[in-house]
Amino acid sequence: MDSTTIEKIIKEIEQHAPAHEGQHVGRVVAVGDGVVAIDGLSKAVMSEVLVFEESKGKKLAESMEAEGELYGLVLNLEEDGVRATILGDTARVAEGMTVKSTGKILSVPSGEEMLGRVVNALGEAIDGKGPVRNTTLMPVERQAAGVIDRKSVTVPLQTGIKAIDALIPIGRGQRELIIGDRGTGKTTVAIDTILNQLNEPEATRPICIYVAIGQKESKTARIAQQLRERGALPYTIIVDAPASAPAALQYLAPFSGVAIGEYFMDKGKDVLIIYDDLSKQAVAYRELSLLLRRPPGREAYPGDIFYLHSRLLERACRLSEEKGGGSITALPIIETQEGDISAYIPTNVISITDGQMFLITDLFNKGIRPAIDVGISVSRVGSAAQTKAMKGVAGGIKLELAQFRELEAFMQFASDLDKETADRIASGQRMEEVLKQKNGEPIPLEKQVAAIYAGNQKLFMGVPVNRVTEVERSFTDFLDANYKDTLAAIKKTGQFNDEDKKKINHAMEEFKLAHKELFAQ
Amino acid sequence: MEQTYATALWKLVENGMEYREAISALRENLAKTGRGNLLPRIGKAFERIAAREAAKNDVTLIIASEADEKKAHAAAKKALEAMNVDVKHLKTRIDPTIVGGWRLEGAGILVDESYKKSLLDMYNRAIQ
Repeated sequence: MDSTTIEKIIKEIEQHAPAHEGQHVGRVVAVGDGVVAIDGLSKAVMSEVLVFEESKGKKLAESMEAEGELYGLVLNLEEDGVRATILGDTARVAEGMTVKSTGKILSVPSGEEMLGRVVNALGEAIDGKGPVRNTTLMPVERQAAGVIDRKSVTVPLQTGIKAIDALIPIGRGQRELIIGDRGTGKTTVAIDTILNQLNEPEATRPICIYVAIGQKESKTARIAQQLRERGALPYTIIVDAPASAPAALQYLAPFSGVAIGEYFMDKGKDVLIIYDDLSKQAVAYRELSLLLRRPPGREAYPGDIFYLHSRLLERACRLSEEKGGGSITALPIIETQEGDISAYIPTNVISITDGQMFLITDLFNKGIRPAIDVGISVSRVGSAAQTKAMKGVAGGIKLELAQFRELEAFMQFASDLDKETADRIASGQRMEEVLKQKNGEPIPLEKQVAAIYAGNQKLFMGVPVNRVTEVERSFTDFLDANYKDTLAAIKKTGQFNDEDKKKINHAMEEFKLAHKELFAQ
Repeated sequence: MEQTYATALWKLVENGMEYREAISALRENLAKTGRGNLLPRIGKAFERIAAREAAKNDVTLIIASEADEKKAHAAAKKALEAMNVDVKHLKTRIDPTIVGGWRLEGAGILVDESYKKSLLDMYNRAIQ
């Protein structure tokens, strides 16, 4: 024990004054599978935090070696007692143990010092960099903002992914579901969105929160490493409830994440929160509910499984100016089985969110990545959350792709088609290539606008389909090198006026002349 | 299920029904519904409920050694009066692990004035 600690203890002894305060307590009568039945605690309330008295009957030295206090959360109020879930290791609880009531509802710490940190579902730092200090406690369960306190969604949240920003745009304060089978790139879309916030000016850059629910620790560690290497971690908080965590922590993690986000939203800031994924939270909640002996419903989920997700997702909103003007944008992720979007949990969450993007295994396997089916994906906020620049060019690509999809079936008859149909198919194929994007490489708004405009202007018609992505990248690099001011103007104003169009047209001509070998077809 | 039957039996007895009459009625009901083999388990659950109810108002004063009894007793009575808890009989138990001071447990309340708690709290605050 160092001298500072000894001095602190001396000070504590000098200032010690016995309080003679009574606490309400109960006694553990049964424990198992993370759930504990407690006798007594007649004054306990729902979601109250309890503390298990592990030190009773142990010597002082032994008690000092304990790993910290063990908490429980009241989830069932019964006639003669309560049932609680243990927020930690079940092995630390024994039958007959005294349980103290804290009189407090579960809260998590939040604050500026949380940025760049990895915490668990209780807000405790788990990244080995010491405890997070100077925090404010935020309630894990909180009523969502009312209608009067909200403002409509009009400010875009740029994901850096062309297919999304052009065709299913997301606004700040919206809930947009990312849904698809395993291995279709759902997490990649979410992480690329976080990375793209580096392209936002610091003043308007949203705070990002990534909530990992039931994920492999190795996956979360890889994501943290990627964010750190790319410089995105300083504005990101990772809330981790891995697969090895008790069901209670996996159930709580999304609520803890949004509670942390509400601290920043209440201060007028924008927040982006990703729940990866809510299917695992639903499974954890089902496990808890069955252990609490609540009656099972469809697919053994408890009757309030819809309410679990609706009350979580309703907390993502855009606040009115009177309330600070902050927002929380939610990107919940749902994993489907064999593409079944009509299953119980997927349909629940689809009905709650303001749109969904479907990631399809077939598209992924064909090499169309991100594997978003833009035909059936939708953003209910739509162009209200798009800059004028993107609105101007996105209309063209939508029409192009819609016509292409209609004619796609005729591709096998390519040599027998009339010129107009063949041209439409060729154009559609190239537009599809323009929407492809490498993972981990979000593209800023101005380059997206330029690339899509070039596609609309048939720049890539002279390019073989399998080289369109390469040519598009070369074109944007060319613009970066020679038309920086034009790109900067688009970025600054959010508009793509006639002057800018003229310059981009000129750039396309220059590019074609300078790179004749790319247009060999 | 046996817990539910035991609770129902307890409530019947609490509401004034004769104990033997309640048991007889229960036995008949179980036989009618084909659940006669639950009776022993219901009996055990009933015993647990009875023990819990009996201990509900018991309060125990825990001290580190006999020498602390008189002082602890006086302080505990004061604390109980302050909380409006009426205790007819205060049991005493010796537990050296509390180091010193006293601890009052029972009737759903805990007042912990043990040296162990004070020392642990100081230590935890100092190392934070």
